[in-house]
Order: sequence, then structure tokens, then C-alpha cells
Amino acid sequence: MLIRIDPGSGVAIYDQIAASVRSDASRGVLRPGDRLPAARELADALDVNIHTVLRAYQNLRDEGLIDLRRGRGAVVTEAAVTGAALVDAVRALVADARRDGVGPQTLIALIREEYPA
Amino acid sequence: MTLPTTHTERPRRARMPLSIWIVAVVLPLLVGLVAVAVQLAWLPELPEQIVVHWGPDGPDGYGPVWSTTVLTASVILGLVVMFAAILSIPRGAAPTAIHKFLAVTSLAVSLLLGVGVTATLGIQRGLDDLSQVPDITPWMLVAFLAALVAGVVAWFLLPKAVTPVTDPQEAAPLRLSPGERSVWIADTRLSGSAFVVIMLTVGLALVATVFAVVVSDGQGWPVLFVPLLLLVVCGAGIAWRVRVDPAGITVRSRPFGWPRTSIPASEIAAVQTSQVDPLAEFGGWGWRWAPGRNFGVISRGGEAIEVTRRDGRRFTVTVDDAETGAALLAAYAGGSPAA
Repeated sequence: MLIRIDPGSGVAIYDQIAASVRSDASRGVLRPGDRLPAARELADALDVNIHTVLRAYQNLRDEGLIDLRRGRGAVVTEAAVTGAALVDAVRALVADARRDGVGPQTLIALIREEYPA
Repeated sequence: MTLPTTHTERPRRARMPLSIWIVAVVLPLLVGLVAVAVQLAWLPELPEQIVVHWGPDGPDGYGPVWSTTVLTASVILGLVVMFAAILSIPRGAAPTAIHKFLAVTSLAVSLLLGVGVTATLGIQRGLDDLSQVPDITPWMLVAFLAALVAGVVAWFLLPKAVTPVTDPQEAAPLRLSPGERSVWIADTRLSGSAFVVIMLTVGLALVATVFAVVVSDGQGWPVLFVPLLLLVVCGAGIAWRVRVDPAGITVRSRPFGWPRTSIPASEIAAVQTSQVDPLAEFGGWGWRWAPGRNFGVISRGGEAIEVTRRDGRRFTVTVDDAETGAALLAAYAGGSPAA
């Protein structure tokens, strides 16, 4: 699985970790039952604090995408892959936006308008 | 539903020419049959206890007369099943040099065993006193020569070896923003068929050694360490974790994290994805060396990350979603290790 972290992006690191796991699940790289790397290993690889990784994992658990069990680690749930069909739609949307010269901020704003929290 | 993009299709299961099966299976089975038939025909002329092992100073192991025939039949049959299993796995073009080598080895080993073991009975016919058993060395040389000659002849009679197609593709580096620290982690484990072949091999070694120890009344028990060592070595080659980070690529055996290997990003000259055929290129699975200064962690056939170092040495690891891992590694490669 690919975890992308850009400290300069202004987005909290733990949100970036969680977003990467979500997108890996959508791409089909992570399947239900797969185990995420131990928080310590991921923290070491990303050169971030272990609590940052744990916070990302806890958020993912709260969303129902992973199960956190003592001794078993973080396990991907069935729910994590149900959004997979969306990825194609998002790719198409981004391609359209690029073609029409719509920037990422504008596109995100448009989505927010359609889908308020 | 979207599935991970497979940029190259997995090659079809290889079709071995008939001649490979004749050399690897039919002829060795014939050798085994003839050996067993000859041994059974000699049975009335043999003493009940016979010499089954020769040490540097002559006979040093004794066993019941039936043990030799059982050993001949089971070991040759086991070997043939093992070679047949290995040869039924490969995908892509066939026969490669490794396929030919396996087939020829099957024939040579069965001849070595068939001729050699049968000769140990032949020289003991009509003897009452086991101390009169003549030297076995000349017959061992005959068996060895027969195996060697048959192997060489079979090699040249078999079709010319083909070179495996690996279809290497230069990895397109992932676009990273300045300061980005991304990590790619993937697990890879031995394919089912490879696992079966390895267990078959270790099992065969174990059965043969236990049999030898039992037949010789517990003499030579230290031999049992050989299959046990084999088991430990194989245990370190079942599952791995591959990690690509700003420092480079690391592959560790799981679950102990050892043995491991890593290549710093600064030493990497090129990153490619390729299709690996374990037998044809690496001669098997696990931690492997291949000709052409290529070292590999080979768990299965199919997609792999291939790294070329600045000094020309290569490293290959078979892993799912190799394209993504290779793309990230290519992005970090050649640069100074990120702080």
C-alpha cells in the first residue's frame, strides 16, 4: 500500500495517512482481511511520531474501514472496499476538470457545495 | 468495480514438449522398475541381513534385505513425483535451460540410485559371511558414469533451450511534491504450488533420512540434522515484507524480520517492473541468486520490481502492485537519502 505524506500541504499528517489508506482500499490494493503495517513500523518508515499513525488508525476505525484488535493489529473490513466503484467516477471527474482548466481548489469547492458535511 | 491495473498479462502455463516428460518421468520410472525387478530376482540368493552402508573403512551399516528394495522404489518414485511437480508449474516459454536441467537431473539421479543400490545387492549374492563383501567403489563409479553419460546424452537429445521472456519496463517515477515523504509497503508470500514442491522436497529428505537411521539401528542419527536444517532454511523463505521509503528499498523475511536486505536510494541506477518466471530465471523460490549478478526474493511467478545498482548488480523482488512500488522507488532513486 502507498502512504503519501506531504508535510508542506497544510493537511494534518494523520489525515493524510488515513486518506492514503482509504484510496488504497478503493484501488483494490487493500482487500478485506488484509492487515495494515504495525503503527510503529509505519511511523518509522514515514519518520513521524507513532501517535500520529495511531490517530490515523483510530480515525479509520471510527469510520468502520478497519478493525483494531489487540494482538491482531489493524485489519481492513468489508466496508472499506465498497466505495471502490467511486474511484473510476472520481478519475473521470478529475480528467474533465483538467480538460476544462478547472483547478483542484475549485473542483473541491464544487463537490463541497453538492455534498455538504 | 476497479481492480488494480495489470499492465502485462500473466503468461500462460508452459507446455513442456513430450521429450521433457519422457526424460523426467518415463525413463526414471523404467530405471526404478528394472532396478526393483532385478533386486527381487536376486532375493533367493541373498542373506537375510545385508550391508546397507559403506564407510571409508568398508561396510559399517547393516539392515534387513527388504530395506534396500523398499528404499529404491520409494526414493525413485518420490524423486520422479517431485520433478514432475516442479515441471508442471512454470508459465511462459518452455523448455528453458533450467527445465532441461531438471529433466536431465531426474534421469541421472534415478540411474545413480538404481544402478548403485542394485549393485550393492549384486555383490552380496551367495555370501554367508558379511565380512567377505567386496569393495563397492568400482560399482559406484559405474553408476556415476552411467548417470553422467545418460544426463549428457539426454541434454543434447532434448530440444534447444529457449530464453525466458521477462518484458522489463522502465518504471515511471511517481511525481512527488518537494518535501514529500511517502512510503510503499507490501507483503508477498510463497505461492501455493511452490510451497507444495518445497514441502515435498523437505518431506522426501526427511523420510529418506529417518528410513536410513531406522534401518541402520540408529547409527548415523546426526544425519537427521540435514532435513531439519533444510526446514529452518525454507522457513526463512515463505513470507516477506517489501518497503519503499525515502531511504530506499528493504525486503525482510516475516515474521522475524531476518534475513533482510536493503538497497539505499543513492545506490540505485534504474528501477523496472518485469514478469518473473521463478524456475526459468532463478531456478526456484525464496532467496535466490541468478546468473548475471542478479539476486532475488522470489515468492511466485508474475510481476516484480527489478532494481539495478550503480555498480551493475541487480535485485529482483516479486510482489503485487509492483508498478506502484517501482514508481515510488524510481522517484527516490539516485537522489541523496532524504533527511
